[in-house]
Amino acid sequence: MTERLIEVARREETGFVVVVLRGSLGAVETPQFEQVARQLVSSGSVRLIIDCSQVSFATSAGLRAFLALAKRVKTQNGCCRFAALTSSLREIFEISGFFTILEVHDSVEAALQ
Amino acid sequence: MMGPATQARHKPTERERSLRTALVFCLVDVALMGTAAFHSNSLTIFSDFLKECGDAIAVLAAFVTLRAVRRAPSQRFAYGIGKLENLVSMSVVVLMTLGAIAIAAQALYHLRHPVAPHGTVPGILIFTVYAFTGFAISLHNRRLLKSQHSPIIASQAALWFGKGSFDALMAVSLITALAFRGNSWSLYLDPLASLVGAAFMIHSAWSIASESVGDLLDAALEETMQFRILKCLAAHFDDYELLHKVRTRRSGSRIYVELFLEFDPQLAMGQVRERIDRIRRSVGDSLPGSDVTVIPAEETCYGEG
Repeated sequence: MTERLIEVARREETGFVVVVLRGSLGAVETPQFEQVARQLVSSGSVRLIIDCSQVSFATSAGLRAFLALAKRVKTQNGCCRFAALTSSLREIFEISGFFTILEVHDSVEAALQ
Repeated sequence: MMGPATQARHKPTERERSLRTALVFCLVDVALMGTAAFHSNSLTIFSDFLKECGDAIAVLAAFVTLRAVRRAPSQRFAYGIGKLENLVSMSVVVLMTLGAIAIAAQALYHLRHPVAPHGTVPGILIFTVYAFTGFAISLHNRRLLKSQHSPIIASQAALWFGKGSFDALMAVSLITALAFRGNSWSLYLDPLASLVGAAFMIHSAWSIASESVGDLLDAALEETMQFRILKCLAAHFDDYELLHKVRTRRSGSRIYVELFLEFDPQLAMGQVRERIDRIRRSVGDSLPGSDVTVIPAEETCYGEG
């Protein structure tokens, strides 16, 4: 059975919604992530943690979706935290200058603090 | 009287000068190889003469196209005619493919009916000289490509590399066939070398086609450039409210970037304009030769994409 690309888990005690991403985040998968993200923000979930520990690869389309989500959440006075970046994701965050604008944490637990 | 911008458009570029040199070389090549083919029974030399004719047409078409592109944009082609470069590149692909098929067919015929070629010395000399010249022009075009992206120069670099390789192979095979003309195996050298040459041409044609087709179909820019745009958007994170869409494409040597951004509705129009200018300059500096448009947009205007 194919594992789901995106899993959304609510952590009621902290008020955060954890979005777990799996596999690659390319041109094909990104629209799915964008749709989930839009639905969450529209429904008022503006405290998000994106768990990237299982993201093997991301293209510029995936990163653009991260940037768009961070902006969208910011306008709603929320916050979007990126957690447990894999080495490949870390590299492209570095190239794109995302570490200076996005909130990045070593793990989901650290992001929940 | 022409203004500075018009004068700049009418001034021949380095790319044009490069093509003019190549065109002169091609025409001399056609004349020399035609003479060599006339004095030899070698079908390999004759097929090369046909190939040179095809190359000369391709270079002439590229030269004329670049001149036309320099004079654009006009009222009719307000965005310029950069895509003409891609169309010409595709015609080069067709010519190269036809040339390769003709050479392969001839090589197969020679393998089945081997003949001893004579009168090949002028051909050998021409192949040797032009092998060196072909490699030199290809190298020059590749150096140009490092400073300026252009499908037409890329196709020329590939064309001349294929040509240089082909000429070198022909020279080596004819020299070997001449040196060992007493041996029956030497009769098969020319057709075998021709087949390798045809493979070179197909490989070059494929690499040109794969790039030009993408550009003609408005494929997005490659990832390295997309990341440069993202870096600019990250650097100007506080200048816009929402990021809706980024659309990119190429037209000849020009790069077009469209950024659909939403701005704080509380801002005055002048403030939005200042922010747009900052973002445009930033992306423009990051992608030389690009035409950047920032489109103030709302989600409801066009939906997400």
